[in-house]
Amino acid sequence: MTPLIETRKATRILRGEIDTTLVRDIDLAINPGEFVAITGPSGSGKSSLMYLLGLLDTPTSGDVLIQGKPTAKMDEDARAKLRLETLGFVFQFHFLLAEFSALDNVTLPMRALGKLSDKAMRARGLDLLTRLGLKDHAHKRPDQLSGGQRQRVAIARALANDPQVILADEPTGNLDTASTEQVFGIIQTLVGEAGRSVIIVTHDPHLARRASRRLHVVDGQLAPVPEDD
Amino acid sequence: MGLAIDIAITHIRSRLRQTLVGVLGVATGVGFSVMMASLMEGSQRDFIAQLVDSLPHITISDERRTPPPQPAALIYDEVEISNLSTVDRRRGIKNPLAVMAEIESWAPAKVAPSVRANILLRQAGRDVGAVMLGIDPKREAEVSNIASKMVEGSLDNLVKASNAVLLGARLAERLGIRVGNTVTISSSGGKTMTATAVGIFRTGVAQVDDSQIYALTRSAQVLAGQTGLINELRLKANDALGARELAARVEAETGYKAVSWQEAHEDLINAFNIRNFIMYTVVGAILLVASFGTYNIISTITHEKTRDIAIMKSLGLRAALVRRIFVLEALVIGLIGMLAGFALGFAMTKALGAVEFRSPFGDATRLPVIYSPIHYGLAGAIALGASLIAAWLPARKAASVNPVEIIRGAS
Repeated sequence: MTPLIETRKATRILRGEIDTTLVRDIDLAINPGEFVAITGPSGSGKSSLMYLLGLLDTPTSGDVLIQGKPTAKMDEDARAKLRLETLGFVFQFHFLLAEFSALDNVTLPMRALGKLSDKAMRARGLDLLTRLGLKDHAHKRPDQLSGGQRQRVAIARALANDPQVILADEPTGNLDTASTEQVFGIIQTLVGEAGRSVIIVTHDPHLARRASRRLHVVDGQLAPVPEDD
Repeated sequence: MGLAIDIAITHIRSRLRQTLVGVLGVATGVGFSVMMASLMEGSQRDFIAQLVDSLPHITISDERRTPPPQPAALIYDEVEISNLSTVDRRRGIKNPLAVMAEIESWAPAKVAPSVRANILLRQAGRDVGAVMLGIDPKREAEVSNIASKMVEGSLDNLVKASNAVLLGARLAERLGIRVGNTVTISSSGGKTMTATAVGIFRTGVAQVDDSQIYALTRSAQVLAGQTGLINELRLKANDALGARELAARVEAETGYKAVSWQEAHEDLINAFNIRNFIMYTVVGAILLVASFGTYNIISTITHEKTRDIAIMKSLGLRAALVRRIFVLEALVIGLIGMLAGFALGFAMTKALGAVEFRSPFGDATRLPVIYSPIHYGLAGAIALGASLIAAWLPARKAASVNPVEIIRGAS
């Protein structure tokens, strides 16, 4: 079975007056249906690793393979297309477009991909929002929604093009306990649908323990998960 | 494309006041450009029309471009000859009726014969040099509009009195001649005649009003001392602007020097070209300044929307799409500005055209303006082009935003 995402000695160095190594020599493979949590102390490079896995960033050396395809030498447009088709993102901040309604935010990736008719996009957007319990909020703008609701809209948007992988960077970092439980619960239900994998970056050990696999990052390298976690 | 338009419109809506200022900038630029162009070209055309109407389009004279060589020079080719008395040639166009008939057979023009003579006008002890044009009133009407420029008397009066003359208004003023007065005219050949002023004309061309008098062909021939003399043919072409080419052909076919009005007023045409160059430079500058406004707006929007751009790019929207969004925004501003500018320009031209002012020497006139689609097309095209260029730099910068930098900065 081809892994969904695979890294080969992926290293990312930020060039500057002093070079900063964000991640170094990462070798890992994520298979369909896996629920992976990336943990580590702040500044350890766990977000940087996620950006590499999500093709938002390019490795300085090594490679990241998506469904067996090497991506390091792809141009920006090809990587953007791959992101649009196979990857879905949820960030710590909802990152919704403020002037667009919840529904318009959800249909945005579909419109960029342009595979469905306008009507089908709308229907699918409404479906996703309904599934996330936001049926009545489809036409509200982000500033009319609560933090938990916004994050659920962001999840709906991540699901817009039915991606193989959802990448979530501290998706509950800004939420209260009740909303955290709700949003995390939803993310958990996405795992395994049509072989979908979920990769979540978190500093919360309680949430990390609910994943099927944990990757612990220390100083930009994979390390064994600490026993007390 | 629909997506880019939606986002572009959303951005413009969120910046309504600034967008309005930008639109106003473009509109003012386009409006003033259109107005200026219509006034400049209007006055130019008006002037040329006046000039062309009151002067013949082509004047054929009995001269040659290069004076014919003297017989002695023809015989003794390589010898320097001096102190030779030259052979006098009989003046005038040979067989003028045949020449006229020949020209009229192929040229899209009307021809009238005339006698041009330099004369001295004497009145109350004052002498003024002038040019007498001996004409046939019937044919004259076909080549010039002098009949409509009469302020006193009429062209037909020429045949009603013996030795009758029409005078230019400024010439008449200078000498204090009124209709009915008698003047003494002497030619360079020493002939003198007493004539009666039967009319005064004003063409608006100072040179003509100042120094031209009209008489019958016969009177002019008497003064020139040569019966049957015709030393000038004047042409009115159906197409005034084609006079230069027509003149060249007439000259080639008849051998006589044919001067088009363009050649006769070369300096004026040059002055107009320079004027047009200055006008287009100023118009271009106005539109350029207007495009700075557009640049400013697009620049501000891209700065403001950096986070949105990062989000869209992280989701997988291509850089070209992001670029298109901002170029579209500039196009919308440019397009609305252009249309508003057309309306503004039209209104201002209309207002200018209604202004009436009085020249101290003439009748009340209106500012000559013309309405030409070319002016609108040109101003619009430059405005849109400038908007596109103004948007390109910020749009390119926006499209090159690295989403990771923004996302990392936000978390």
